[in-house]
Amino acid sequence: MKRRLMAVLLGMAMTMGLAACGSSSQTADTPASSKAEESQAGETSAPASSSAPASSGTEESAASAASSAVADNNGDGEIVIALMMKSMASEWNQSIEESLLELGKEKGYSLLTFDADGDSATQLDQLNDAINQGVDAIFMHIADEGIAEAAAEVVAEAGIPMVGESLPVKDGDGNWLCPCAVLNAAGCGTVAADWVVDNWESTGVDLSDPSKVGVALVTNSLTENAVLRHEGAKAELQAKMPDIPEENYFIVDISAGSNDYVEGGYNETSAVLTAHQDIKAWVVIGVQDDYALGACRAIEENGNTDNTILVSLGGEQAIPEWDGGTTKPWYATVYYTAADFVAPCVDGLLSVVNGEGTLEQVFSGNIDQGQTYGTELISGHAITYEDYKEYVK
Amino acid sequence: MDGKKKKSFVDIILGSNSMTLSVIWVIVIVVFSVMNANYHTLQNATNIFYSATTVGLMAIGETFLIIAGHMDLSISALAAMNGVVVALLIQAGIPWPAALLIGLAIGAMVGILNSALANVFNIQPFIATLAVAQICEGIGYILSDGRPIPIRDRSFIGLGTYKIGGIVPIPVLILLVFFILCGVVLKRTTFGRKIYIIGGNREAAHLAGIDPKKISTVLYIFSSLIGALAGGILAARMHTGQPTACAGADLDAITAAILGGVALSGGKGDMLGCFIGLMIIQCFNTGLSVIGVSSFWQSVAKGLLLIMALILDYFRMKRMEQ
Repeated sequence: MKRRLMAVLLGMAMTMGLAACGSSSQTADTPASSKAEESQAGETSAPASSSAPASSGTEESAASAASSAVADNNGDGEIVIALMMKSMASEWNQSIEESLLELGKEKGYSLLTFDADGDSATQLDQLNDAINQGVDAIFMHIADEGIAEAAAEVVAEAGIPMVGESLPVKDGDGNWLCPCAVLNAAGCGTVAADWVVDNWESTGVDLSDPSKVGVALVTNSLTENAVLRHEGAKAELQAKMPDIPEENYFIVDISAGSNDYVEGGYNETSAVLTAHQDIKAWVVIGVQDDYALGACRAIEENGNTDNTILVSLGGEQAIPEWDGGTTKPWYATVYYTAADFVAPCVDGLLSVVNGEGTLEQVFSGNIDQGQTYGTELISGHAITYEDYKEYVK
Repeated sequence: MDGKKKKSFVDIILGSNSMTLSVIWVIVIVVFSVMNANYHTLQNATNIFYSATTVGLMAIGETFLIIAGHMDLSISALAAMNGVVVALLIQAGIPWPAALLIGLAIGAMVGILNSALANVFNIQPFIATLAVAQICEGIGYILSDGRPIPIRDRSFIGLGTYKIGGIVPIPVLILLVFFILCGVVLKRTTFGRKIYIIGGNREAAHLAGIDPKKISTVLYIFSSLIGALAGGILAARMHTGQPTACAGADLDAITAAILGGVALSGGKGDMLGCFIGLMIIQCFNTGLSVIGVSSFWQSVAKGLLLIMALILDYFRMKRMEQ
């Protein structure tokens, strides 16, 4: 019995030891997860480039930081923006805060972060706290679309401008309740397709005979965001390379192969490449970098490295591959950063706070019919092995 | 007419579990080969075996445990964690054989933990290993910060990608060797017979002087070791250690074992059946993708295949009883 108990204790000690080793280098309570991020209203995975966050902090620490910051700012009249964050346990959300802090140094505002830890009721309470502390503007990463109307009402009553980031702030009828910067999933797919159209000749992969070109769209039919991305890519390719026959387009659905996105990408891409050996050149678009990584291994394994152009969306897997020296067949990735979302939101908020415009004028270049507020659609831009270091910290 | 009845074709097919499964396997291959000529190519065969390595290795561990009346739901999370651990160790400059050994040692510790929870504290294996899975998953995320850990060591990558004779990938060879060795252990050794006895009737095993806890401890450790190995091999194949890797692979492994005739109630099944069950699933999955069936219909088709195999097994058992 003693030996068994020793075994249990040893096992537990090993586990605790591992956890302790890992946590020493962490700043957040829970690790970032690209999957978790993707599940947030179908948003995207966090880009690999994001450096470690300045600080994420817990709710309590954010609140205490809030008091001191407001006290300071009230004195010199500095603008204070409240960041209402759904959860800081996400690499992407941490990089949003970091980007806001960085931009604050340039634009002269200070930031108060409120971490709702994924709870919508907590976020509503924190919104009232922020208003009571006299913040000048709200940068909203909504915890749940269900509280959007309540949040918008509270903010409107207080007369404080609000913009939404990443997650749409809409009412039950689909009306935008404030200006929002959101990812344009189909647009990301379009950017990926455009890169292929504009650059295939430089890759050495011959797409000159469209009848022999196959297009594999590595996607996940269970994720709306992924479907929008592959549809965007397909529509753009069909528009710009109309001679590729419809039957040469293949939907490579990773949800059929495995619950592991990378292995699913491998299994399904392998099957499609093997089944269509009459195809002489491939364009493979992985609508998420995990899928693309599996597809990349399948392309190598099937001996298609020299006749395939692989383009992905996200960059979190492409960049480590390029760091490791792999270039073919992974030529480009559609990349976007937290700053892409933060900068237009901050500019909009500051223009309202400084009396230079109204909320209705923020993102006014893209207001849907019947809507009061505009949206900034982020589609990212294509980066390659040659230039990725210019964009990635 | 000396009383000996000549065996009919149906008798032969339903005569043994392996024969029944083999017929299903052949039917699957033939049907998909007719539908797409590229299905029965060497390249596709390699792909099928290659894709089966992670789930296949886990299925070996699960087969042992299920026959012994246990189950391991921590094996996928452990594999993912081990992929991260090995990738981090290699990144830190530790030679890959040492990194892999450390990963296996951690796997053994997890096996001991599983066994202790199930045998010392009498927690249901299903619950105990699920809890351990959560721990492993969390540690994988903590160690990796939720990010993939790239692997640059070409010799370690070779473990996952090098093909012997240009045809057989090392992971496939490892899988086949494990299936053969474990099949021999299960069928031809005293230890193997003890596994059947403790899974079939735990009390009888006690009376026969067999210690079920000792046997299951060995099996839990082996299951974790092989899970850790599967995680290391997958990391080598994908050139990266991922905390999200192997999601759901343990359930796929259990499905392969059950399809292969391993009884969830314990005491029944073998490695050959498990192997053919694994191959049926893999050939079927790949076939559906090769002929371009949508993933929604694939899900329906896989369920129907499993039901068909289980009904066939029901008729076989009924015939045997008669």
